[in-house]
Amino acid sequence: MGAPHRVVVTGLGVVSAIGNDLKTFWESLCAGQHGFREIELADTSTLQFHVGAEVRDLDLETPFDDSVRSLLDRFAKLWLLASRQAVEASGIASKDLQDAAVITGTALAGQTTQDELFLALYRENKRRFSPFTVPRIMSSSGASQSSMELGIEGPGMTISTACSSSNHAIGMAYWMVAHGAAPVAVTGGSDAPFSVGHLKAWDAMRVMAPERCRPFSRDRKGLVLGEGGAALVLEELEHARARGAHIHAEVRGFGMSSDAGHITRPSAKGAARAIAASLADSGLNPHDVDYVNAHGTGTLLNDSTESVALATVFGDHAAALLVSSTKSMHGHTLGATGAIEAVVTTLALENGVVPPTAGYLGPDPECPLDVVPNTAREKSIRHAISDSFAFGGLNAVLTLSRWDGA
Amino acid sequence: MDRDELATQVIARIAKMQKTTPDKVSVDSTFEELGVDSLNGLELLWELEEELDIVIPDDDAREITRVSDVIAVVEPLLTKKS
Repeated sequence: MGAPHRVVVTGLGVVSAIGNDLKTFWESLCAGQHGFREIELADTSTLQFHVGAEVRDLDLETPFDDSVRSLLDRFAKLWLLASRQAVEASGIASKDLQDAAVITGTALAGQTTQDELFLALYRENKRRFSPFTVPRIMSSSGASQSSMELGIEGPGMTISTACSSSNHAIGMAYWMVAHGAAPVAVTGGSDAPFSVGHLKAWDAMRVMAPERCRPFSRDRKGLVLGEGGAALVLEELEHARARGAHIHAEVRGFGMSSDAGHITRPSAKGAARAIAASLADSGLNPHDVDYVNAHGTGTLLNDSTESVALATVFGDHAAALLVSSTKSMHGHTLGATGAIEAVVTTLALENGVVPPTAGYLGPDPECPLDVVPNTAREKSIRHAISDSFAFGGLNAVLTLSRWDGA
Repeated sequence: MDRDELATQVIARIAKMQKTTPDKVSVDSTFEELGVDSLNGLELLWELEEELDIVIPDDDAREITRVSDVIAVVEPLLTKKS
């Protein structure tokens, strides 16, 4: 809609339960391999669920200098490791990052640190806490640390809108680059939900699947929490071309809405409004879209509501869409999920392969969609959307397009 | 712990924090000379409180700008404790 600049994706990075580098992550997605295992980071003996998608086999200590490590909560480390991958892969020079933006999303921020603090304070009667506690807990710590380690002096902020956090972050970064506020943006998000205090809160919601997440499937039983971080380098097209950058995909549109309804019950109307807004921003028509990376949490209500929203926007074309929820593999990573799924969507466009909805047992009449059940599908897709619909009804949808070199 | 032992301990902690050797830190050094910023200063006081089981009052902490100030604040707290 009249933005002066086109915006492309020139760097990707991810750490997740199904891979701590882009290649492993993509291979897991294409194989339908999930990362759900018994939770090890927290004692689940008082919970009704015991399975999560934890990041494993990742060194969270030596990649950080002594002087920095003690300032970082787990969520910030996950962000920094993902963002370092993305920046390195983009090949962008340090001097080109000076005017960049860094926009992150997180729902929970440093809750791991806060949980440890409460435990020490209330159970162990500890009297003193590290002066690093505030820098560890604050939600913007990842963005701040990126600014310091990358020398980013342009716009920096962190957005927290529950499960839409990093889609909002990427959308804001996209608009900033599109409208000239920065030539480059390092954006995405992270979350680390595995502390007992936080897991108890989810237990009380009664939406947790006992073994695995089966989005859009009959007999689905809810979501599985995951942790991780994902980052994208967004770049103004001519800036990327001038330095000969590899372009993964183009960001075409972003749309937001608010349900103005209920604090937890999703609204098809609100979701449809965000999808329609993203398409309007992109200038595309609904029938141009080939793939939807769904919010698809695996809860009864989300998946049926999202199906209605897709039918509302896409009409008859909804039946022709490929719709997959990769939360069936990397779990619901809350404030990181938009970023992880934006990476998935970018890779699907670039590789011409749609990752499946894993764990699918069979159709639910309330979700009449081609959800690419259990097996990845080779299919050249031109345009895709990536949905994020949060508790509290703050919705954010990205539209991305295949990069054909023009 | 006497004053010399306390000084040795404080200097050792600062040296470790600043990745240097104790001989580069003296009782007369200022935090500014040592590159101890405000957050490092808080870290040092927190570590001393933990190690020595004392509480350094905020009003005293605000006045600390050099190694000798740390010793001057901490020593009476240790005497009081014993």
